[in-house]
Amino acid sequence: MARHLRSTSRDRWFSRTWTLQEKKSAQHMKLLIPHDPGLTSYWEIRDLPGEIVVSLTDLYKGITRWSNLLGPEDHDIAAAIAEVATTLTDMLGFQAVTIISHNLGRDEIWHSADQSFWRKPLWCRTFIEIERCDNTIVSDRLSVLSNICKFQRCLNLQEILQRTNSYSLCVLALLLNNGCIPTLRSVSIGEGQSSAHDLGNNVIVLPPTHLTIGQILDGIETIEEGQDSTCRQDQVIHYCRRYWPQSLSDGAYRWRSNLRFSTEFIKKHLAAEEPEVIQHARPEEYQNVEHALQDDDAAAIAFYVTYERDNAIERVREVIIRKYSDSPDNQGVVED
Amino acid sequence: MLRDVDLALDDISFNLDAPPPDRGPIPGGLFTVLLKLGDIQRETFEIVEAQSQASRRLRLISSYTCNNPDSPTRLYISGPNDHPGERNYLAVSYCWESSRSLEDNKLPQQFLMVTTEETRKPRCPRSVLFRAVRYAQSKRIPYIWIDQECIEQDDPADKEYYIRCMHEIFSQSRHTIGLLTTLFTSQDWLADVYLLSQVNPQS
Repeated sequence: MARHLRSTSRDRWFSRTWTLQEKKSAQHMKLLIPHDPGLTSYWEIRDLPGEIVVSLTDLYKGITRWSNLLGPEDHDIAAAIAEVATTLTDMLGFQAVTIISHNLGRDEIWHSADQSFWRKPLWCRTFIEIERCDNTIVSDRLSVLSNICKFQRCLNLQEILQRTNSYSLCVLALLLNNGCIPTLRSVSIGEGQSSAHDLGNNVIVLPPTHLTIGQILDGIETIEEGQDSTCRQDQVIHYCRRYWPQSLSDGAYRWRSNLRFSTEFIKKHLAAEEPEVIQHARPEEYQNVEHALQDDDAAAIAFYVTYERDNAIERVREVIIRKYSDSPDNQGVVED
Repeated sequence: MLRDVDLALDDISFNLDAPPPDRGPIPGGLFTVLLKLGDIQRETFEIVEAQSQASRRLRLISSYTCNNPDSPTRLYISGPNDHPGERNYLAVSYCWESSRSLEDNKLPQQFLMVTTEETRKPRCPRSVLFRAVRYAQSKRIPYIWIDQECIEQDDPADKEYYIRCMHEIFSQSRHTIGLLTTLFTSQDWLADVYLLSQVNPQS
């Protein structure tokens, strides 16, 4: 069975970008699988000689169910299921993956890999899934990412591909324009000068320039680790201080997917008291709570650099209060 | 494709020929990045709300009854306004290239595509049409949607128009099939997939 499962999942249909979009979009997908005409079909549909019809949903459910029946002696089959699950994570869902990992006795692999995967916002997961596909055409990837995420603002591909061949830049522009990470726009600030501007929060924004695009698209995972190891925050802060020493706000903060603001990090690096906005938000209370900030701003990281410091902090505070207040679970917790 | 996800934002290569504006403490590289993103935003983005109408204006393939087995089956492709809002169609998902590997000269059926403007040969592999038509007939599905046939491949505007709503075309269709091309060659293989596809093995 292990061999057959692997052979089936290696059909190119499972690895193409366009079919990724199609299988994620379809309500009920039936797979038509050709077989040698001489074989006996077990399926009910008899009027498709040489072909069997399998519901994709049933196949995934069946895989999950079978994985639950496996014992230690079935390691080869379990390994094959795990391999298939790697390519079909989006369809199997977190619960199924957890069951499989439990049965495999390899919690350390799946637990760490896929819990973080499922905490990511949709656009992060989609980006990662597209990375696993074998389509290398920039415009295809951008179209599929836009469609699956139902972005309201899409790239004019004919136009943009004449201007840049950078896939990452295109993705970044797409995310910025659809509010996945702070919206940057170069705007005039008077006297012939212009600057990057976060229109959503009405503050000047300095993006974390030393973070790689991959890290941003990946949900800023390494920021978490940075406090102990790579210290990328240090690099970013030092970068900010070096180039913009007077204007780095102590209201700088970060969001990550589980919404714990790094207060220790801010205190340490900015040598400041706990910023007012964090005092009010008390995000530690919401670590395991689904709420409004989770998807939209999961991967957002912005260092608010301000010419009007007080106004900027107030604006950030308002944004957070509004978003927390939007969630029924959190109403009344944050004082306005 | 340029795989540049390992580049820092500051490293993205833009046209740096023009010196950055005098922005005092703002580093030129960074400022150029921001300006570039600003340019992309201003000039190459489009609001796509209007596009949601595109999935209601599909060309659909129909009339695939063939009485004479020796003559090509004529499949009719409607105009985009002939079936507004129709959802009872079969959306076909397949890999363009690997489906060609299944192209078999022994396939009994030949096809001709009849549009409002011309009669032409199919653009998609014959095996795709054959499998889709046969499935639709067995399920009595009146219409089929296949991207290569129902989108004007030589018209960039038409392609852009429909590519943006591909997800809607598949999500709104009542029937969807994915055409695998891996040929099952043993009875064991067939039996294993059958077992796997049974949600309740005990029954």
